[in-house]
Amino acid sequence: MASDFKAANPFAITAIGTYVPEGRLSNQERIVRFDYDAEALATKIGIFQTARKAVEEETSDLCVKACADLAARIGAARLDLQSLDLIVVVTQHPDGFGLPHTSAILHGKLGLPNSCFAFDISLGCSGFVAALATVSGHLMATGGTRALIFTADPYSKSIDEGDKNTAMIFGDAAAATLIEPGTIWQIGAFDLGTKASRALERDAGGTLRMNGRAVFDFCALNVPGSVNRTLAKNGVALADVAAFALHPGSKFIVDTIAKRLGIAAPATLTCAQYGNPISSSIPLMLAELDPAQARLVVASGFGVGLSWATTVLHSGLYSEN
Amino acid sequence: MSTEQKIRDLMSKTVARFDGNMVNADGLLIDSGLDSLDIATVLLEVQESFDITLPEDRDEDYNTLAKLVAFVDAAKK
Repeated sequence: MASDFKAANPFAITAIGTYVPEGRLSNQERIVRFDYDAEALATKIGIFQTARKAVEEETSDLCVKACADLAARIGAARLDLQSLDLIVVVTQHPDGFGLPHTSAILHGKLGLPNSCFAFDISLGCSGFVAALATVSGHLMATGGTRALIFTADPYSKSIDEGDKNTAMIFGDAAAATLIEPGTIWQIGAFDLGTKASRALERDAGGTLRMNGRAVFDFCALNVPGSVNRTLAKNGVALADVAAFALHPGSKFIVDTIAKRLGIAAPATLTCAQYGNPISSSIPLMLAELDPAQARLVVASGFGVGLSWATTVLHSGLYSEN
Repeated sequence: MSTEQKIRDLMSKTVARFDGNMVNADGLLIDSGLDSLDIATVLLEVQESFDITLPEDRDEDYNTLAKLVAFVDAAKK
């Protein structure tokens, strides 16, 4: 039962702010150019528009806007930026040329105190869940109590808009996730792994390239096992899970993983109107869940590396229904 | 059952509204009515059914049914 969940980790996700740029490119228009099948777009890609940031927007700017949304949701006083011990930015598309690190630039833009440490985490789609482990571990090791995880990986910086393998999939977005002691969502035990591959990489010209079959193989062969191991580590059963936040690599990948897990696949992807936002996908999904209803959530991110990171999130809020 | 017939059956089982027996053994799989995601699914099923690995950087070695059969038979030895 979900109530059997025992969180060894004292930290929780207590609030999430999000930002999706208003700019959109239509996949309905792209499929004409790419001579791609409309039915396959709906049933296999599952993404109809991809969000694109403004050219002048930097990665740290996306983070600032996600942070502003977080402040709007919970109030600036409750967010209390001056009390933060740590911020991290999960990105592989940093500001400028990557030095200084984007989290340090963001630190300045947010006016954070010198006592707040900042570092980047170079991961893609597994990055949010991996950051939950890294950040909670950092807080435990340093005696800190409050952190923000920013996810912002604008693939539009390196996408070839003429490459149908990537252009129709990835969208720009950001999220700001508050980590502190709490009961929503308590962070469970993890299952993480890496299988070295260049199936998703930037080429010598800095352009994103993807071997879709290799990525698909990796996901189908590794993610169901990771989910099952995570459930076992947390002492919960598949039937106890109220919601699955599976990284939306594409509808085809999510459907395949769901089939292999023996669970119902979602009718549509949550990112159908903005694209796969890499490490921001899971916080964007969590932000749409009602913690009173979705008491136990499996969150699994997987992609570049290739790597996976899976955990269980538990809500201490209970619906009266 | 031959490797080729097993793969044809896997195609029929894996891809909706598709008859693996209609595939021209020497034609490119991508020209046989399968899209790239269908092919990815078929190749995954082939790997699991025969307990082999189709290396991600050698797609041209198994881009027709005939080549795929030869690759699988060689990998099984």
